[in-house]
Amino acid sequence: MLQLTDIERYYRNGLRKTWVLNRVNLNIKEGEFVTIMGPSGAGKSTLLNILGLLEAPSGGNYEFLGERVDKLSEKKRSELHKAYMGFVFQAYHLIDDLTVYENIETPLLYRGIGKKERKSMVAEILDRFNIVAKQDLFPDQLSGGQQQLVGVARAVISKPRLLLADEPTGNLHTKQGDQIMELFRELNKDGVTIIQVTHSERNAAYGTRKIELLDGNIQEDQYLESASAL
Amino acid sequence: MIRNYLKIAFRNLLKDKQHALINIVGLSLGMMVAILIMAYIYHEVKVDQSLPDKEEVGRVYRQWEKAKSLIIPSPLAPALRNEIDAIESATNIGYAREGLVVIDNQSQYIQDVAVADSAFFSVFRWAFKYGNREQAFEQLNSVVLSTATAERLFGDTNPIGKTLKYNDEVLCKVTGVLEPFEGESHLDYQMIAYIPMHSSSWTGASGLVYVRKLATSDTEDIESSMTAMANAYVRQEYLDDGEKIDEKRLPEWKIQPLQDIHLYSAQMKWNAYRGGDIRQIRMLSGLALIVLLLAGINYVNLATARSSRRSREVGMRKVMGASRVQVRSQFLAESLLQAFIALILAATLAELMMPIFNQLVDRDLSLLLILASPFPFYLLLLALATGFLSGIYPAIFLERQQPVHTIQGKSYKGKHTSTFRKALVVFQFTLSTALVIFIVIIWQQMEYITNQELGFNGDQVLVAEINTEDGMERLSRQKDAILQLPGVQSVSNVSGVPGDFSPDYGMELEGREENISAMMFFVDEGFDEVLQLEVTDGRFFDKMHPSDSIESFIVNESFVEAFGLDNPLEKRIRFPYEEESFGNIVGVVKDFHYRSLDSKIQPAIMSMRTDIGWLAQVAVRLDGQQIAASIHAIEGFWKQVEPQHPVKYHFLDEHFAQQYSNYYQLQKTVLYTSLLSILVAILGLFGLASFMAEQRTKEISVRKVLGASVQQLAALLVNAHLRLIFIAGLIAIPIAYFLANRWLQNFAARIELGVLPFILVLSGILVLAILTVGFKAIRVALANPAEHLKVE
Repeated sequence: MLQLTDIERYYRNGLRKTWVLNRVNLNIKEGEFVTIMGPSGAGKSTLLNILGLLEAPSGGNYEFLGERVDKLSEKKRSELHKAYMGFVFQAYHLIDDLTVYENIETPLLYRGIGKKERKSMVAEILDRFNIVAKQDLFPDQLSGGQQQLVGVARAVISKPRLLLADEPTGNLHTKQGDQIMELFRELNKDGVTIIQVTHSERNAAYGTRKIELLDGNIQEDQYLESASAL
Repeated sequence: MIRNYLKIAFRNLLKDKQHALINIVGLSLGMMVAILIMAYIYHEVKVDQSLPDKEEVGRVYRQWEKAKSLIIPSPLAPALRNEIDAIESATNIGYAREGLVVIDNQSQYIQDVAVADSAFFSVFRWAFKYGNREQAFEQLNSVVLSTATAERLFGDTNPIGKTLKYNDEVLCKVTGVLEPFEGESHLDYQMIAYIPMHSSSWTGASGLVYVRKLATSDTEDIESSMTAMANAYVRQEYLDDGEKIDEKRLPEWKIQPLQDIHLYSAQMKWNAYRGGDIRQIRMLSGLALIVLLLAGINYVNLATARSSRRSREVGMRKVMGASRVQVRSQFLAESLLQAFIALILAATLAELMMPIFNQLVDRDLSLLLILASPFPFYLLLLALATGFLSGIYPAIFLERQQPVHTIQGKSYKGKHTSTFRKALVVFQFTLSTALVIFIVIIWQQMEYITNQELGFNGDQVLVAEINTEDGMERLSRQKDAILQLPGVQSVSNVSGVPGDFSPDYGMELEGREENISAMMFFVDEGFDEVLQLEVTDGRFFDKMHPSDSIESFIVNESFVEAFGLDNPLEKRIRFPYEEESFGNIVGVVKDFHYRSLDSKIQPAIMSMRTDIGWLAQVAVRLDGQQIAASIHAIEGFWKQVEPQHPVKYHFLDEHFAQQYSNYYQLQKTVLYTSLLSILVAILGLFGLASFMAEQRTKEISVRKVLGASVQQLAALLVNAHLRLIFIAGLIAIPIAYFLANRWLQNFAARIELGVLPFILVLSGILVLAILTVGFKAIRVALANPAEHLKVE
């Protein structure tokens, strides 16, 4: 599905360059559930941002579905976001001024989906995530776990082929975290490719592949056969 | 989608009420001014536009190097009719603001009367309700009335064939009634009378001339053939009188199109009709734009300052697939929503302020009256433009931010944005400070002018107009009877008083080759007493010298100075067309301001010649003890002078002050604008300051924990803003100086520009800013630091 070749990311600090990612090569196939792990400052979030086209690499090649995407215009990137990607963040990043229903509906608005269809899609996902009762509440009226549920619902409402999650359970209790991870696994079974960044081995165990990042290099890349058994 | 934008915009509005309030109040103040001025312009440009003849009809004026005059010699109109083929018709018109009509011994004044020749209705082909246009002016002493006047004078009946006495002198027959005009027109005469008119020679002037040209003809061609023709007559007349002509003093003869008359005639001499003035429209539009601009800047400043709060939302939306256009649309929806709310508020405010505004522009406008017109469409356009222009920068600014930064909480703190904001604040305060300085200087100048020594005393001087020749004769015979009336101290029969237009006469000064020119007052021997003029040399006219009334002259000091007379009492003057006698200068009066103080005192001559001058006014000095009784007595006395004319009078000091009405109007206009602009600027400053203070709450708390005092903290917050205001003041000073200096050039007598107004205004505005910012700063500085620190 996506192919990174010699991806670099550095920041200029005066005359010196500080590397965050150093010649990363990575190939992820459709249907994988990848966990990126590593200590703070290893470049996990940067890698995820590059994968999600939120940040451009300083060098290297990024092919997404067979197309070069590392130097796209904002408009093209926005189109790819709309067509293929969903995002989940550690801090949920729900829009405070919108209700649960409206938050989930927003991506559909940007995709120009008709009112009737939007209604049924949102209703369906509210139902699936068991948050129908909360649909008229505002984010600050929800618990962290509930907010993240909404965050995930919002990310997947438009049926993305790739779901990117940056520490999706970082602000949650274990139990709430497990709930989210269960959800991820279900989505993955339905065919959604997932890439998540996390510190938690527990979360990583839900995935099919684990990548260890250290100082901007891939240290370890292993496929987890036992994942489904857990 | 749009509904979604609006919904979010509305919620954002409610969420931060203070911010929304500042924006909306500011915008609505700016829009209120804009609405008032748009209503005014809308009204002004419509005047005369629905006249049927506007393409073909125009008004003749003469153009000299420096002046334009609308008063045209009477032989022009017949000559145009006979000699210039492209002119279909031309008519002489004498305009009177009021004319007296007597029917069955009942007299009443009628406003806006035209005295015209028989060609009037061949120039103006207006529709008649009664009577026939072609035949209306077939016979001398015919009048045509407006529908309203016909109803007033004769009720609902058809008045054709009825008679009335115009000015109690001429018996006229009603030959027509006009259909009412559609829309407003400067030609909205209540009565048009075809009666004998004063005529003049080619070198004189008598009244207005309107022409109808052939639709196919070219105005410039007509103008050049008219100029050639008319100037040829003028030259011939000079030659016949045996005088030399200065070719440079011959005017160009031009035609002003009907549709330009209302707005482009203010600078023409003898413009009795008080129309609009395109310069005033331009100035008002400029001022409206300034206030609107300042309000727009408030919006931009507050929106960009608050952008850090919104940037996470923008980033999130982008990640969810919002395109730039969609983000931009959302923020534009917010500014448009606020602009439309402001519009409703502004329209309400405008309707409330309309009485004040009407007084300012001397009109009778009402928003309610133009609701059915296309005007509301312009209002919507105004709101759209305001919303769009003030929203577009913040929208673009926000849409540009990289989502990855904003989502990670690195809010975008562009250095150039805050510089941009500062620049806008400086710009706002520069404009408003300059305006405030300007108004202070205008005020100083007006105070100076109204307190100037005028050289005459106009208090308690009642001036009455005489309407008929009979009346003039009767008054001059019974003048002394006025002195017997209660409270009357002195009386004088005059051609004009200070503040009136005084005509310029060419005179011969003995021993000088060329004619001299001086203002002429025809007076009697009571003039110096009534005006309390000071005689500095010789004597004033005196009954003891009967020859005064035929040959003596009095001059003013400027006359003596202008013509370098060492011994004025030995000099002699005469009217140029009188062959024989020169008359003696018998006295010199101290200069008095007979025109407004924006012009210098010109040489002036006084004469008692009633055969040349029209002593159409009588000035009466009252003792001021019993004014009501005096006026009552004069009204009674007037029945003997002009039995049918109720007396028309005014007081000289008020009459003289009216010359400044334009300046007072400007003073008021600038006063209101400067107040509004400073209010809007302060409002914006308050919004910005409270936002900054909130932003720095944590920093303030840390400083406080480290031992900073409340004063130090408040100073810290206040200083940042004060610097900007101060810079703005420094920039405003030269601008205001330039503006004020240019304006002061209008006046012959003017104040010296001191530093005081500048210092005063600048420190005033600084104090205002300190109060505005300090209020917020102290509140933040007083807050308990623990509350703000423990959250982090």
